[in-house]
Amino acid sequence: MKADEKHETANALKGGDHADSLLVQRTLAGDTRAFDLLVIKYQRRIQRLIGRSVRDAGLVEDLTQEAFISAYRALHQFRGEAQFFTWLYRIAINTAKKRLMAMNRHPEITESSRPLTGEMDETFSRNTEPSSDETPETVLAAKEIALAVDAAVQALPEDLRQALLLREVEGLTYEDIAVKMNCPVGTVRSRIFRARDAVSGRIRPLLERQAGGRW
Amino acid sequence: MVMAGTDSQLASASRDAQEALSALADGELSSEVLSDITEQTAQSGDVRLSWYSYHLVGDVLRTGLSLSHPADAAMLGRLRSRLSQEERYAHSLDTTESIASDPINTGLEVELHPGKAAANDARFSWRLAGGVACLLLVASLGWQMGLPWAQHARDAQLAGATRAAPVTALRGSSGSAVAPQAPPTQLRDPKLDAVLQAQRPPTSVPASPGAAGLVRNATFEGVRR
Repeated sequence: MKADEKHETANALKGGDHADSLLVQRTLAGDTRAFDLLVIKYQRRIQRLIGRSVRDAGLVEDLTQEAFISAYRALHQFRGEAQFFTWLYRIAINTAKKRLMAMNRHPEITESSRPLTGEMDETFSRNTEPSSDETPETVLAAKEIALAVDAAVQALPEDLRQALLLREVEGLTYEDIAVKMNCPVGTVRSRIFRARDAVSGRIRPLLERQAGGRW
Repeated sequence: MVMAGTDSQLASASRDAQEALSALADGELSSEVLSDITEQTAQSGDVRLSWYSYHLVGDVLRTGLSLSHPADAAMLGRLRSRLSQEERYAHSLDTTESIASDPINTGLEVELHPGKAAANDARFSWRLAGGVACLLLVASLGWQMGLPWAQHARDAQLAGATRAAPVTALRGSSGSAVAPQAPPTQLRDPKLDAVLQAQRPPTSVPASPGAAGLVRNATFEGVRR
């Protein structure tokens, strides 16, 4: 990855970090519904992380819940020096380790087994590290979603696709995208939203089917 | 007609909320409108699904694959019900010491509630009392059974008392010198004293010269000659 690409990805993640910080502050201010947004955002990653060392799907969910509850309890101690996901990641690892040790099982996940700096937090090698509780059905569903997203992005009008890719892949801020696309920031915001909405519309039926329509 | 108007207003509000969610996902939303977003998220499953799918789309575009874990909307419901029991905790955040100050070594099980009694306080008190009693018992037995350190201490104490006795005898309460007390009277049998006197040799030289007598009478005069 070139240096400027790295920089752009880092910018994209900074945007996400800013959102996390806002939600943490909001939660600490007493609006616990803000924490729901953090849970929805990170629950897949935490489940997958724990799923690497735990085969029992029920236990994975249990530990995921426990990790989020521990994070909620300790949220006032999150100072924002690290990314929220880095902090949450460590809590999840420790939660899983402790439970497995209490069950006399050797925890396979280790702190040093994967990097925790910068963008690696967000994009750590998902492709090469399969989760132990993956089933053919879940793998198929994941591929289905990936294909649907790809098809939906290809079907987008050019300006929407460009805005979305500049944001998600290149990691540019709205201001940078506005300069590149020669349009106001408000337009960028609107284009990115419309692009997401269109792609999201394509994968919604799949997600609702997975979740049993309980959203 | 009115119903149609209300529906369109709701749809418009939901769309505005979803656009704001999209901006929030990118960190491009001001904190002022965050309360509206959280309100909408709590009320609308559609908004929650949008938030979830926006992040999923981003992950797929960046990595090429979606995570194989299925969306678990039910987990959020269960988690919320558990977190609702934590409400009171959330209000006492200032006085509560919790576990994640060092997430690497987080003692996730340890929480200190200074104002509250621990569930095992009663058991802890009994254990503490028992421990103190055992310690006292062992110390007392050690003292009485003459452990080496105890014996040494007792000997030192006795020696100190013996040395101190004449001094205290010679000094009165005002510090002036006083006459020592008369030795205690000893009753002896006069006949026994007479027998012992008769058995005593007439001189100080032992009756049978032993090694000690030879050494005592030896001179170096012969060597001089």
